[in-house]
Amino acid sequence: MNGSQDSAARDLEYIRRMLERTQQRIDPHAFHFVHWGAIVLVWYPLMNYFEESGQLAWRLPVSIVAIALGTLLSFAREIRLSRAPRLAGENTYIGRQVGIIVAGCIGAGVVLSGFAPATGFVDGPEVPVIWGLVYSALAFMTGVVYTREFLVSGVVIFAGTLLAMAIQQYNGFILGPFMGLGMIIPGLVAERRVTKMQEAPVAGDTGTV
Amino acid sequence: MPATPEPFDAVLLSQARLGIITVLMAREEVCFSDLRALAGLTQGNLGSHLQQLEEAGYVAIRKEFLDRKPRTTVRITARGRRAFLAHVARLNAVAQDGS
Repeated sequence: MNGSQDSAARDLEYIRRMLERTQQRIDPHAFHFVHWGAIVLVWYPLMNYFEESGQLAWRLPVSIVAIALGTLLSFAREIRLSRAPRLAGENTYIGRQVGIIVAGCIGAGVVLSGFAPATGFVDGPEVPVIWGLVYSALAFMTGVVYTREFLVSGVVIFAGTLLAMAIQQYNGFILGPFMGLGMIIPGLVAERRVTKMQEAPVAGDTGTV
Repeated sequence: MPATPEPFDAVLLSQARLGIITVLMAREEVCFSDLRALAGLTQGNLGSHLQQLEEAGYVAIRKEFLDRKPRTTVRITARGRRAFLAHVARLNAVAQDGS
């Protein structure tokens, strides 16, 4: 390879790298996955425990606290980010797609949580299984548009949901860890990626050209 | 007699300008501060490279006020897009057979 071939190859590599960095500079707001995962990890087994031990009166207040806490955290962080985005030069297209997927899935989950028991399609204690399917779809679709950790997570949550369907009596004990960790792990990986992008310059090697 | 190969586009021979155009190919329109972060250039450096790209007709720069704050956005033009694609084709030809 002569000098000009070498130089052309370097320029092409530089273009490829710049395109990749520009397109992959995404903040999917994965903290939602982390804190909702943490809430579900505790909430679902607790609900199952209340059900099994006959302490049914605790179910509603605990659910209200869990939902209120998750919603509050989500809103607070979204408001903060709307004032000051974490990544300069962020590719907002993918971030918006993830947002639409989350909104669509959670919306469908909320509707189904009311509609399915009301129509007798499932009993009240079986509602977590619906959320298992919702989370599984949510994680899988996020994996399609964003990164593969979420694809794996979608499959794992789906497997957990099938297990919860098979062992209905303990669905909360099963779904809590599957859904919780299935959201927390890829969420933390995504958050770490965003932190790394915040710390590293995008194209520091061109600063003096 | 073999045909003389097309010369390289002088505007895009600078790696900084090539980087700016590459970012704009991926994003179409970017605000100044985002472009600065993506291209890894200082404010002054970016301003001077953008001026050269604008003079060549490769980018269009729009200045406006958003919530009483000045905001500059940069967009790639059709001419800039064509120049980038021709430059990449030329680079590919050189990288493959040195012509």
